[in-house]
Amino acid sequence: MPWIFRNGRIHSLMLVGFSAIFQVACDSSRTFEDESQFASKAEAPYCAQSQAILGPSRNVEGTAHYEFRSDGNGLPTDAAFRWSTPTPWDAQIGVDIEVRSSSGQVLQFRAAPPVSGWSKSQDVLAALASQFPNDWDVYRAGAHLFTAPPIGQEWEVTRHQGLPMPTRNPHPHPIRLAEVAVLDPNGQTLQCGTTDDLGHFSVSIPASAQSWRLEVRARAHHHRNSTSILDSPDSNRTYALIADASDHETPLRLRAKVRGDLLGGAFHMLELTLRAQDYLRSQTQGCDPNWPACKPFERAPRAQIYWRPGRSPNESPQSTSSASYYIRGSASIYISGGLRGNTVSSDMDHFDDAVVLHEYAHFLEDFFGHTASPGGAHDGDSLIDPRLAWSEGFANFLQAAITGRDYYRDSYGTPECPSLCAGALIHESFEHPERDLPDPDARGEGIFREFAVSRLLHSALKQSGFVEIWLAFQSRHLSHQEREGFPTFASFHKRHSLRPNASDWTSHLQREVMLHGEGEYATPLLADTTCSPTKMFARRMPWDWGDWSSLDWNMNNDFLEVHHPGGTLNAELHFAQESLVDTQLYLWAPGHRIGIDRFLLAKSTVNSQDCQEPNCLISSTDAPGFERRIRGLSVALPAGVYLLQLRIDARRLPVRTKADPQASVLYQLKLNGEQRCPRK
Amino acid sequence: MSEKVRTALRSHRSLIILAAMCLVSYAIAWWISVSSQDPSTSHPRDHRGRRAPPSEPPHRTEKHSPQLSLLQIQDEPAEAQGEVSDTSRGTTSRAASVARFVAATLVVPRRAIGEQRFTWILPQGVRLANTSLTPGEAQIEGRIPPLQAGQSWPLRIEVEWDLDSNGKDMRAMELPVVLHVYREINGQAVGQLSQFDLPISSSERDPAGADRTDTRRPQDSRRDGLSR
Repeated sequence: MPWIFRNGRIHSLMLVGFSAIFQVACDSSRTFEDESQFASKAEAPYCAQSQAILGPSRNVEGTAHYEFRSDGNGLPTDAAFRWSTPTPWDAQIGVDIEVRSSSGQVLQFRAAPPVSGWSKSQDVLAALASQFPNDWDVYRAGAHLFTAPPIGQEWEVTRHQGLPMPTRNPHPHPIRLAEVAVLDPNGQTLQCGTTDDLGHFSVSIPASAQSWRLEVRARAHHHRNSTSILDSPDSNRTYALIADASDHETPLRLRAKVRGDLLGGAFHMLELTLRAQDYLRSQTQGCDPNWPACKPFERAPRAQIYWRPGRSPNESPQSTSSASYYIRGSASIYISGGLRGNTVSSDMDHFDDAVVLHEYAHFLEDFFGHTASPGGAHDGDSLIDPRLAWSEGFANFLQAAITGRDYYRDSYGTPECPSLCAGALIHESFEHPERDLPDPDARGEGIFREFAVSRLLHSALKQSGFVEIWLAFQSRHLSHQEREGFPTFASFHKRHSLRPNASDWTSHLQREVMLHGEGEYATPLLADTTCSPTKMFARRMPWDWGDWSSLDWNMNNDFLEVHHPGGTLNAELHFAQESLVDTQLYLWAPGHRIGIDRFLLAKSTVNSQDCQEPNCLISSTDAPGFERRIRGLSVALPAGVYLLQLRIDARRLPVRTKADPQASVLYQLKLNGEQRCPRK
Repeated sequence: MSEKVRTALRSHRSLIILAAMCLVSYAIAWWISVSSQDPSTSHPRDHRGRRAPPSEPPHRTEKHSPQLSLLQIQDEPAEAQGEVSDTSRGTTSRAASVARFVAATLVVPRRAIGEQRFTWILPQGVRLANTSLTPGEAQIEGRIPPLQAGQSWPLRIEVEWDLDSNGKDMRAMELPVVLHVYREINGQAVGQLSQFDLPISSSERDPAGADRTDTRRPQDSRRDGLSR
């Protein structure tokens, strides 16, 4: 009898194996709907278990640090000496510099002026720069010379004749709680570990070990963090600091640099994800257990950050600028590392705490909140889809809460450009705002502005603390029926205000021109035959070109939530409008992005008919002088929640930045023959 | 097949069928997962084998986009736009020829903006070539007047760098020309960058250089526009 059939045990094993494979296949698509967004080579397994060492062993110890740029694009934290020329400048000055290391090594640099004197002050710094040994990192930024000592040595300036005492760049940060692995010459992982909060690591290796490699990797998978910084979804390679572990007697000193391979960027992003989770843990520790959503934060699910130095995730030969983003449902964040190899004068985001944490906040929202953001572009100073404004506004807020700052900052460039290229794409204070300010006369406009949402949450944080925000934010536990079809800030605030003893945020709402609860978007429709016509007050802003990208979301549109039992939906709009405007109805699918054809289920017919009594729901006395019309749409739909948009096209109006106190449009609505009224 | 094997197969037929079903189920699941992948994210390649820019996946929450459109334009004759053209330098001993490149862009604000400043950032070894430009056009830095939404302001620069006798670039590195448009707020630049890659000269003189297609193309950054 062939061995494979013996006792039937192999069959059972096969079945278990197949079941396991199938289970994994099922599990992988259960967590996030779009996790298989990219064809991926699997990430290397996390170093979890060390192998037992047979025979004598020794410890390999060390510390790992990383450099970053303060403020995103400032000076590197490389502990470099910053040399400047004296003021006033003396063209005949000679320079005599001495630096001394902690081990007693002394270096001397002397530069005498030419006979005719230095032609410009920078020449003396250039002469000094050429004398530093090759293991020093020497670079220029603006009018200054920077000399960063070799890693692992502490140096001090003991003489500085001719030049002022140099200032010092900040020191690097420890790489905290990152994976450590020791690999044999064949690449087999033999020892595992994790750096501690000071960047220390210690692993045992056989005393006889030869050519063993130690890696400190830009990823973590433990009780405080589960994040990997990877190069691309195609290859899923982890970034690592690598050292030869075989011969070193003294502690290893590893450092990820801010220049060159830019590895500091990978470890800085890992640190930010840890900081975010530490913040959530510390803030939710004592949350009120009487509230159903109260559950102290433990750890976020596993996330990947895809990043490549000098590359933007969306770059093409035609790209002029770079981007960072999160893809909903994928647990994957994409961060810009530059553009087509340019890591000096491009928009890089790996050191922009605000951008990395903003995208990480989208990931947290994906898992702990309930988002229906359509995504897409937004410039932080426009009226946008309120679902997008809520998602972006929350992400702007959370990064500030985690960092303890009161602003959002996205920087570009570096100080090392030949001329000024370091600046900020956005540097927006929540305390002294300059952008995305709602018009106080435009009732409820705040929920259409992302920074209005951010500012409100920031004020609420100062008033009530983080837990109240987190409690109302968490909505993952809600059943499908309990979740809003179109979640916005208004849904969040409604959940908050329903909580017993919730803080009153009325003053913040008023300042940001927001309403209590729902009303300005996804307004419920009630069966009612007595309501008076709904009025709309049209504006014509200079930026309103009449297309979808310049939609005046608040004043020129009403968005109505339609709960449809299934079958044909007939919507009939009875309206009266002033001349020069036109009114249309659109019906959108639940997960729509406004303006995208594939989400548009129906549009009102272009041919209109006069609205004549007695069938017209608008009487001539309601709107004297206005033309009255009926416009409708009809479509067969499955049961569900849909969004009906009533849009005023105001592009023929002259510019009118303040709505006329006289209504521009009055309307009544019938759904399947039954009159419905917006519950405002 | 031996009798023992047949017997074994018969006695374990149900288990074998179950295992086969598992295999088939797994194959179907794999096929569905592969075939249901969004084709927009599969990184197609163009006719030159270059990776085509990935189209935007659904539900992509992007970081904040800039308020200015810096549209790179092609307003120059082909021989001057983004291509290396050899120009005799006479008796210059250091270099026999130079490469030239014209970068041109339109600054288009989405909203009305106040006065902005601009700076062209040139990599080491690249200099202004203003021979064919009128004075004032070839500024390394300057000012852009206040603009209304949608109004455009052209910026243009012609640069050159030396080639050695083999036609090889003598500029330091393959760094791009970068346009910085900004205004100063509280002592800090607030604006944006736009990158123009310089063509790379081959080590040998390339007579087919005119066939290069790495010129700048007009690009419309406005998306999701739907005019009615």
